[in-house]
Amino acid sequence: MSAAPSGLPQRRVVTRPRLTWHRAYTSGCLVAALFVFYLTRTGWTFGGIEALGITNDALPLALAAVGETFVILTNGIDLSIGSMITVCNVTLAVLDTHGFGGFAVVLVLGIGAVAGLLNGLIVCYMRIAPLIATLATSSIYLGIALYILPSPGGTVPQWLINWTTGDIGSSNFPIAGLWLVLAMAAGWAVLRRTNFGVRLQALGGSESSSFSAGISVVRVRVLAYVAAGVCSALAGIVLGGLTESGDPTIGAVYLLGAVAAVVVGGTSLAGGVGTIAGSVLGAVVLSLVSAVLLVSGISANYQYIVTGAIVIGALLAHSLQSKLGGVAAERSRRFSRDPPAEP
Amino acid sequence: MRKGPHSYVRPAEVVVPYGLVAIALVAAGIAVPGFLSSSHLSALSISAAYIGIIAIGQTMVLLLGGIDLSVPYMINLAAVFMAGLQFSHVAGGADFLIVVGFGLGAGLINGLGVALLDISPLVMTLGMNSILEGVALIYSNGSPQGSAPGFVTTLATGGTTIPYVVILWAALVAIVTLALVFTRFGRSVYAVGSNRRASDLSGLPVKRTIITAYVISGLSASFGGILLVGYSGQAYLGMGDAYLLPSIAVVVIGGTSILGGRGSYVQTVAGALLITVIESALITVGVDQPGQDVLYGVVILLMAYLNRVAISGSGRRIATLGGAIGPLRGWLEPVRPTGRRRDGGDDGDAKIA
Repeated sequence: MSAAPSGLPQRRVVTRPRLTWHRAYTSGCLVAALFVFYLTRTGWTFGGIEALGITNDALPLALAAVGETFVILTNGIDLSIGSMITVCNVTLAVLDTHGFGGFAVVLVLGIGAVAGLLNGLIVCYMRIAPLIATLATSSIYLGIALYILPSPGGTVPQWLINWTTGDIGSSNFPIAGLWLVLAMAAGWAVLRRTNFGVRLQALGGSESSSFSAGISVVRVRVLAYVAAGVCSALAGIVLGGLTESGDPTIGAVYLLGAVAAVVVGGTSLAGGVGTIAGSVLGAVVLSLVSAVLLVSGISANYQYIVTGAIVIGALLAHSLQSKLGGVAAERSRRFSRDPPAEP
Repeated sequence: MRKGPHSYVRPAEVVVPYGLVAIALVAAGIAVPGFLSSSHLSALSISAAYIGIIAIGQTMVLLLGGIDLSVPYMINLAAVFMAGLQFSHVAGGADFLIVVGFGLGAGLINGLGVALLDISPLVMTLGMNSILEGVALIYSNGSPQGSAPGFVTTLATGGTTIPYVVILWAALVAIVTLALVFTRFGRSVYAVGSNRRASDLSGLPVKRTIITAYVISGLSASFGGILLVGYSGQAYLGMGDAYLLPSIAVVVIGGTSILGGRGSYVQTVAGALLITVIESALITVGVDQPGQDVLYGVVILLMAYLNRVAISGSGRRIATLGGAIGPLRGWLEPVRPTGRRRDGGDDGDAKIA
């Protein structure tokens, strides 16, 4: 969709660091605080086993949250992430059972991209509100997943298991932790160092200004949903490696968990302002909460109450931060009123 | 200007969903023998009544441009409480009031968070859902006890020719519809949903309207939970999860815009009837659960598209479909009946999150 006037040169957007990084501070501080609290409960011991448990728990949620961040940055929402994870997870298990091996992983990534593409096309061309569109496709994808694998089972490649669980070599550093760091780095690079990322943030800041500035609004938005689909596929693949099988109910918790992690990570639901690192940290926060409750001997039943309170509290903290003269708020106000200056 | 309350609903928006219900009924009646028998229709109307009653609050919240994602555990918690209080021998009537009171309280907290603290409805109700889930788990300790009190079972499943719950639903339809059209609260819901800032500047009680809508949502979901425990006899954890999508779907299928300001509860009723008929027809012709899920999603997409383009939109909108400006404009602002109630756009307000 060439929405841009064809006469304009399609030059590379000059990227400048936008001072939205500080919104990730809140989740960073939460991670630190929860971690210290965790240590006080365990008597200042933190071994490889604990690190493994927390990072393995956080990794799939973090990947789902990264995908959700792309969509929320466009002022949309993707409620089909849980179902896309499920589809990818069960497809991987079934394909590997039939001996596709490594090719299955590539195929599953493609499936995630197609599912995301479908979401994006429905939102852009049928012009159905993202919430409804993705809620509907969520039902469709879940139905397809149940067709593919009605009950838990199947296998995943052994190398995938080796690359998702356990520690790096003989060290005490979990592989999942490495993936978390890589996800943050990759997310930062895409958002801050590519045309797509910068246009994505512009689009979320002000759609009409982005359109006037020659950004192909439709293409960027569709790509955001595709990115969410690919991230969901990654989460589904990782879950396959962690559970060593496929499960058609595995994605259900990620439907709202991803949104929760993004919110805790400081990304604005109004679009345009947010960080990938924040979302990854948000996922770590949610995993740390359950770990802290576990070591404190508190019933896991309380986990839901604490998680709910943290999500609401984090949003309050972020809005307070913005109201107290946050740079992000100022910038987003400016962005929504005036078209961005030609760089 | 016409005399009397100016309608926010165009006749076509009401006629078309009901027409589709009629078509679905006739088609199912032809395809499935006995579909239109009085016993089956009675069973259908009971299912429609449950989801219809649950969707009362969701309709109002969506009309305001908000959303209530705490419906699943509002339902579940009410069901767990109802059975649990029966187990602890709390007198009939008192247990009902306690459960409904709890739903009111949770809805009130939702409303206060959204209206006063300006928390995004999506996050507020999402967090509330998580909290209510925790409360349900702690109260039941993982395995809900007790069973539905007799009067609840009677209310949910009893009745002679017409089930009691359907009579109750009919009364609620009349009350809610009249309230939305004629009361100050109802008019405010539409006004705030159309343009919150303008409503605020016009002196409407914006915050009170929002809080009331979320309270009603908590009430109706709790009441739905009571009905569901009456239907199944016992409460179990996760029984509300299946109602998150339907509670929004029936509103959308009826043609109410989730961006707020356009729609009505009468349309939601049509949506509830339509989805119930389609679901029942699919089951009777032997479509399995995955197939139902897929078709459910497709129906929602088609109806959302139909409502937006064919019924509410004009031919011009269809002509611009796929044009460069089309996706941009359509995404930013809801399609509205041209020049009927509003003049300006609400750039920037037209987002639900």
